[in-house]
Amino acid sequence: MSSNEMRYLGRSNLFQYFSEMWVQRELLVFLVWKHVKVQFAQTALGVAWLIVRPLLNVIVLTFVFGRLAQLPSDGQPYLLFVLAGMLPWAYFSSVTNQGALVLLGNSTLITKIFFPRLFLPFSVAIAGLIDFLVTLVLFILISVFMYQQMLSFSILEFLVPLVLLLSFTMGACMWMSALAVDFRDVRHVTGYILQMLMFAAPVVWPVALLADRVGEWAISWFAWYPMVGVIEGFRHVLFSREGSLPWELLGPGFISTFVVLVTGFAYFRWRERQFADVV
Amino acid sequence: MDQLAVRVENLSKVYRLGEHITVSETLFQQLGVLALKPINRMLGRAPSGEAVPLLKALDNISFDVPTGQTLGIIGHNGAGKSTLLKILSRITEPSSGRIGVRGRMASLLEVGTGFHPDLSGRDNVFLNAAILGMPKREIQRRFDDIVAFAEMESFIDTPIKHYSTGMRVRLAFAVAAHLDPDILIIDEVLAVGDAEFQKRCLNRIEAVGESGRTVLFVSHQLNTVSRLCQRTLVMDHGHIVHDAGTLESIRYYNERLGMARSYNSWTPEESPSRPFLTLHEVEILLDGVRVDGAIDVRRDIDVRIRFSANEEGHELSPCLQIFDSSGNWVFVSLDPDPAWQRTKRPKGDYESLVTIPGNLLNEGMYSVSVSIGTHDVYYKYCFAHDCVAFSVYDSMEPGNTRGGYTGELPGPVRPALRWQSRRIT
Repeated sequence: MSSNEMRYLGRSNLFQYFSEMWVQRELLVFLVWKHVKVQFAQTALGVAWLIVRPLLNVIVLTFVFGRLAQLPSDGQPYLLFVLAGMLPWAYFSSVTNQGALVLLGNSTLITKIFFPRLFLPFSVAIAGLIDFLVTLVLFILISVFMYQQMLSFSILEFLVPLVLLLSFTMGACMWMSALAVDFRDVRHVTGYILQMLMFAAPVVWPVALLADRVGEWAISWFAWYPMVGVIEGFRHVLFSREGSLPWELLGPGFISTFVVLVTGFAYFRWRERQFADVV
Repeated sequence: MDQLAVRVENLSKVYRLGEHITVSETLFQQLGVLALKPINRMLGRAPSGEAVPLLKALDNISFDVPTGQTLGIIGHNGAGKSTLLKILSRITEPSSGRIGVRGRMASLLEVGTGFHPDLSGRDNVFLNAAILGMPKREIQRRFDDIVAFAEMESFIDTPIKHYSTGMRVRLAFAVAAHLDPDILIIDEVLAVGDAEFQKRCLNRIEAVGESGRTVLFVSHQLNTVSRLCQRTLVMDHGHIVHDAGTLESIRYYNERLGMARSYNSWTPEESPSRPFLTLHEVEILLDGVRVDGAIDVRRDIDVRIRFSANEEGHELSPCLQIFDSSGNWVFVSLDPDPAWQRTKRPKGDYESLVTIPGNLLNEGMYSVSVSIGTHDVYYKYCFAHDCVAFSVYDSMEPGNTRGGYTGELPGPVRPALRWQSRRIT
């Protein structure tokens, strides 16, 4: 677009919408960088939190569900089993939780300056990848050094549940952040819902248990919940299971994720015109 | 050079009053309302929230700004200035109408947007500049200039929560001052900072304007507007009520919108008084001449009240009441002359001239109310509320009460007091 043309501000079409985001992509980098930096400013342990957080989480879960409750773990050490489940789950839950607050928390930005509003949930989702990577490295280290299990997973297969995880998280994030602007109770409810969703997902228990106790039919319904495919997909890759990826779980997950993503984007785009007036 | 930089066409913005209340209600309440709707309809009750009052923050506004012009926008609070700027900066969308823009646009509606207290000055400069739309390479290139402009070299790596407000403002404005957009939108950001720094900011904006860029500038400080802008829009209740050269617009604003209306008169029918009394006019004078513009803090201000007693035998004692811009009482003054107190005035025309001494009121806007009544127990026969107003400014020349101090002096008054200081040991 030449600078000598008069251009009219207003509703942009999808192409303009995304090209504007592309033009301002540096800002997204800055927002991610800020998000990360602010997290560790003024903390005693600093970056060490990245390791402490998942480790403590997993140790507690292992003690409660592995030792006390004696839940089965697909023949894996329970610690590794739950860590593989927490890897995607912690990403999903922390990004969704922060995403629900990100528009409210940046209300001064929203009411004072124009920038692509989607950058705010995006920046949370991207910054969350750092935690994800650290947890992944932690998993590999524990697996190799504590349990002498050499990992040999295919990167390509790893990408499948990862893409599903990112898409579902982004979709949830767009829904929650935009809803939280209009309905202030969303932020109180989010943590509660996430907690229920966690026990609904096969984080601390194996899918086989559901088939065993409830019946095979339950699994085909259950697979519509995308985190099922995500978690089982990661476990399949990380534990170098035989055969192909669990497509019977991933497939429905991709379909429902697509719906969440598209409706989330549509809802966000519809509501974002009013963010500055309402937030 | 007659190219347009900004074109605003039939712009309107309507807010639904009370929208905020319904919106921030909880999800469950909304669901409840939705669920009750069919029940209410069956019972024949009107659905609530049908006749929501509408507020037209902007009502069908159009104007053009040629490239290179510095345009001022003035008006009361709530006149629609801020809404206009928010729409121009794309923060919120208009209800109808459209805006055309030529070139890169940056807006500065607040100093230090996105500053984070836990981050260092350096980090905040980068973040703030990126938010304001400056590319990273340019920030790196201009970083030293920005820090030098703010005079913050030694603190730049300290978290800004340890900065004073003044330091934050300086840093934030330094960033903004180094934006190089084709069109710059500025809202009232110069009201902060010390006088010296404000001056440098003004110079900077002036330089931006002179370099052929287009500037849209909103301010309450009329002297700043008159210094920076060639043309000024006066807004009132969502309309542009005047669009002319800055001096003419400021005069219009002062006279018509009563912000500093130095003269008010009433016909006998309009007079806010009893039939036996007519208030004719109230006027603010400097050395016998009607005031035009702001008044130097050092000068005596005269208020002249003219009225008529239409009947014999009433005690008519005029009284002056001064309020500051927030509506607080500054003082009340009665004519103490015993010749007029507790005496019945003969029929006739009267004039009272009351002088507010120089070096008494602080800088700011003052509104004047005049009443006429009995003296003791005060009983008002006539009351002209907010009938005239004036503003006091400090030219920062010698002879004021601030000595060499350049900061802001708080409080409604700043009288010239007698100070006697000496060394006692």
